[in-house]
Amino acid sequence: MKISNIVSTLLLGAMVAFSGCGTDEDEMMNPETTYTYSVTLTNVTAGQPMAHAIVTSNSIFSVGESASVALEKLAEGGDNSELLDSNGVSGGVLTPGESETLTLTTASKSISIATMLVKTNDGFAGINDLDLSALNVGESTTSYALVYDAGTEANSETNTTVAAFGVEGFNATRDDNDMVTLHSGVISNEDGLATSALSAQEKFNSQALYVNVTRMK
Amino acid sequence: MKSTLTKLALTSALIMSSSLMALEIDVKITNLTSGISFTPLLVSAHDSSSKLFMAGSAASTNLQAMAEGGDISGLVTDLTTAGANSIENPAGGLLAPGANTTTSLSTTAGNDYLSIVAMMLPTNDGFIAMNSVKIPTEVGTYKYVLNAHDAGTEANSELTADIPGAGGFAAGTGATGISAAIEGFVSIHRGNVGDLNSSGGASDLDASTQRFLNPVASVIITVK
Repeated sequence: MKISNIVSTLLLGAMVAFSGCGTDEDEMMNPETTYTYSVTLTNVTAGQPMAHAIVTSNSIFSVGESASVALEKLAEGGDNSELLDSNGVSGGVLTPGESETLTLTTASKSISIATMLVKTNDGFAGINDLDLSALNVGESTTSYALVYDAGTEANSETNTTVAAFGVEGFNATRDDNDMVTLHSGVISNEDGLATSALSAQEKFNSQALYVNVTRMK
Repeated sequence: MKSTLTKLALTSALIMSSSLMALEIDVKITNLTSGISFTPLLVSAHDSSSKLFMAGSAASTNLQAMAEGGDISGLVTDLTTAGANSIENPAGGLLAPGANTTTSLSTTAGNDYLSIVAMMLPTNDGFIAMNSVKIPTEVGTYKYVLNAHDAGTEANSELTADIPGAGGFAAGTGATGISAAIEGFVSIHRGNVGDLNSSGGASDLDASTQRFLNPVASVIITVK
């Protein structure tokens, strides 16, 4: 059993290496090769609606660096329009538990995803440059997008600063640490921040968006 | 191009054949939390169509029984019907914070996916989950981390009366309850809130010892 396992594993490794060479040759002959990815996004938070997502072959953010104004607009106001160009597609609003499937055709073997958690000041679920180079046609990969803090707005959680309450979304002022980091979570008015407009139901714990990518072409 | 297709066909044929083999695996599960126990674990190898749940979708009644009360018997029945290879309660009771347990599993050909679930105590309907992960076929050691999930079948009131065995965890009394809703779908657990008032306040859980962050468990699969 053990030996046959090892033998078939070695054979498999060799075949994968061979087929990998074949793919490279194809690409050299067809520099315009495009890939089509079917991307299913599921909001797996208990109580955070998500604004229009963007799925794009562009990079969107880098931890430790200042957010672009385009990302700030997505993270503070749910507006993905400035991140959206011919390399990307836009999703709809996802309520907690809701799913949507977007299709992206691109020359890139990596994609980025971002969507605002609407009941935060500047929190967004995102994956930057998800590497899909190992994905063959018909294969899928799954991952969770973590929640990041754009670092562009203080996390006051008030009904005049959190986009969900309709008073203010994007604000050009940067009154936080001005770099993208993982989000430390919302506190809520049931957990010690009396001035918060959020309840415990809107808390989240790192993973917010379940992502399934299937390569169609 | 033709030769590439042939190679690809051969590759997929090999992948198919290797995934249809029976496997001998060891599964080590470690509770990574500082103050949450896991009720009896269910470790099961099953086929690709026997998922225990889908994040974002409503939980089954049997998943609910596991998540709210630690009762894995319904899920075991479901899995047995589906021809799965299951190990029940490898830790022989609760898996305490920081503790680990190792179990061995012989999989029937075709049972290529591994699921692991257990209720998290004290929570209302929180559970750890490895949800239908493809078991590697190559001999070796593989590491994973598991997240806390919320079955979405019970509001996260954090009241002792709503949590089985919570009294065994020095839980408080007299709280008014967190103002939570029943989600109606499986989500990533947002965490316990707790408070520092053991005889009142909003929560009967203790904020300093009974919170958790993801991940909450680690799993090491050894393919022999």
